[in-house]
Amino acid sequence: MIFRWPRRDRGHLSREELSTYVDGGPGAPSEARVQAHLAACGASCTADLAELRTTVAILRSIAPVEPPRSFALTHEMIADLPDGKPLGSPPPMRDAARRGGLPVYAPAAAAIAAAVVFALVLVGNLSGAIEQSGATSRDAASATAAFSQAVELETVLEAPAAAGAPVAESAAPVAPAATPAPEIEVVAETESETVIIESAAVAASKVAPEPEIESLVTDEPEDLEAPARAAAVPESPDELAAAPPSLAAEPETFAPLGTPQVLPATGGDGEAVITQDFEIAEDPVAPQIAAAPEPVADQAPQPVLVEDDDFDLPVWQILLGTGLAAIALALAALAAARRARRI
Amino acid sequence: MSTPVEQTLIEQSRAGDLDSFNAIVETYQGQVYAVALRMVRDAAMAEDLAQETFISAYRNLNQYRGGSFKSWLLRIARNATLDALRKSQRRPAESLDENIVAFEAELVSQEATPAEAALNTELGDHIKDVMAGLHPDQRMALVLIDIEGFSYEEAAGTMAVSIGTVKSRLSRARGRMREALLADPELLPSRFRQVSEGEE
Repeated sequence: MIFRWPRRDRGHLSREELSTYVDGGPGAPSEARVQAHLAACGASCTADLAELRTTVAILRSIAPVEPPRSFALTHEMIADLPDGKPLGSPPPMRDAARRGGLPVYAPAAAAIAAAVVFALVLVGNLSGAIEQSGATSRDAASATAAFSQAVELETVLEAPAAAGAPVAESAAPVAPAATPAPEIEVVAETESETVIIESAAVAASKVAPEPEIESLVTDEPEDLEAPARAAAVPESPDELAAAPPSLAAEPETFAPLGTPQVLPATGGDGEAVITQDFEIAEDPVAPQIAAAPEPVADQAPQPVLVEDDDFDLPVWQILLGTGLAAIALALAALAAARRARRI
Repeated sequence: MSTPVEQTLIEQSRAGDLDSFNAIVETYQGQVYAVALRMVRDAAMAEDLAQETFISAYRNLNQYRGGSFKSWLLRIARNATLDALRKSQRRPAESLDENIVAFEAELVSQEATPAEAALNTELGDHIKDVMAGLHPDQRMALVLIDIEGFSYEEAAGTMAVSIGTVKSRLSRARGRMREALLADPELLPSRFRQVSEGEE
């Protein structure tokens, strides 16, 4: 009889699989698979399996061993123990299943979860998706802020909708520009020229980016001019009250790209400007509605991103945090597993 | 997982009730001694190791955190036997072979004739020799599962390894044993020899 190990070919049952199959151990191949394999393999594998079964049968026929004596403890054997009790303190009364299961695997599961998050953030960062979404967030945030400003300005102005003033299709830059400045610098020009209406406060603050923002916000400079012309007219409270409410009606058109009314040139925050605008707007002496930013018709709209660090995703911080968390949890899981196996 | 009765005995033992712990000893002393004996192949040493196992188990009973008490106890026995084997390897002059009273790996056969009984003894010696040549981890897997009837899960808990590792070690041990046993089929009892001869 020639002994041969099962070949490790594709589809061939391994030595370990045959061994497990013999006594039906966990993960053993199914009967159907084994029979199919034996039918395909031939006599050699059939002989191997038979020999393995013989071996196991021989081992299991070995007579059990009886202890020669009792190994019961006596008090002399444990005389060194304080009060004759086991060392240490009894563990807290808990469910046995929890003792043996969850505390060991919980850190491992948490480590895996942290590692998955780390990988997702890393992949997302590498693909640039996070950066793009961050820019989108900034744009959306700017649009939202400008829209909010415009809505608030509209409320303050309470300009009648039927004032007859030219409808400004884009009034975002205008709405917050209802500054308290007593002077209104209005330049009504043709379509090819810039129309600037700004409050004294804005003028004093020299909102430099206005033109850029104005051109940025939309590709329709003529739209910008319309509200500008409309807003340029009022020089009295009555006229102001009759100022086109639409100037503040649709501020969001310009807002997404960041409008000067949000960020005054002096570096003050947009809210401060807006607040100031509202205060000045209430001033009956010089109620003004800031015009849309000066359109630069000859220039292509240039994106001006509002530098708002609040919306930048701290990618590297997320990566560092999740990476460290994954490592720490993995070490905790390893220590817990070792403790569970230790006596 | 320990039974409720066993859990009660454990709790009472922790309170210092030695009689409760000795009830546990009576339950497991046969398996503990058998594992020690089959690993070290020295009856006297196996007795010492078994006693040491139960003393250590009582002293450290508060470290038992649940799960299979049998696996926990046998793990203590396994560690004790492995320590003894390491010491014996470092002292060749006092190797186990010189002091072996040895266990008789007798094959149980109520119908064995005197001749077969003799063969059984000879086969038992052959098995002992083959087991002595196995790596201690493989030998432990073979002893626990094939000789002492442990489940794969119990063996994994005793050896503090995964079930996959147990399967691998057991497979290798069985392969070595198969090679040795079938190399001399004349040693096989008649019932086994018929099986092997039928495959030729």
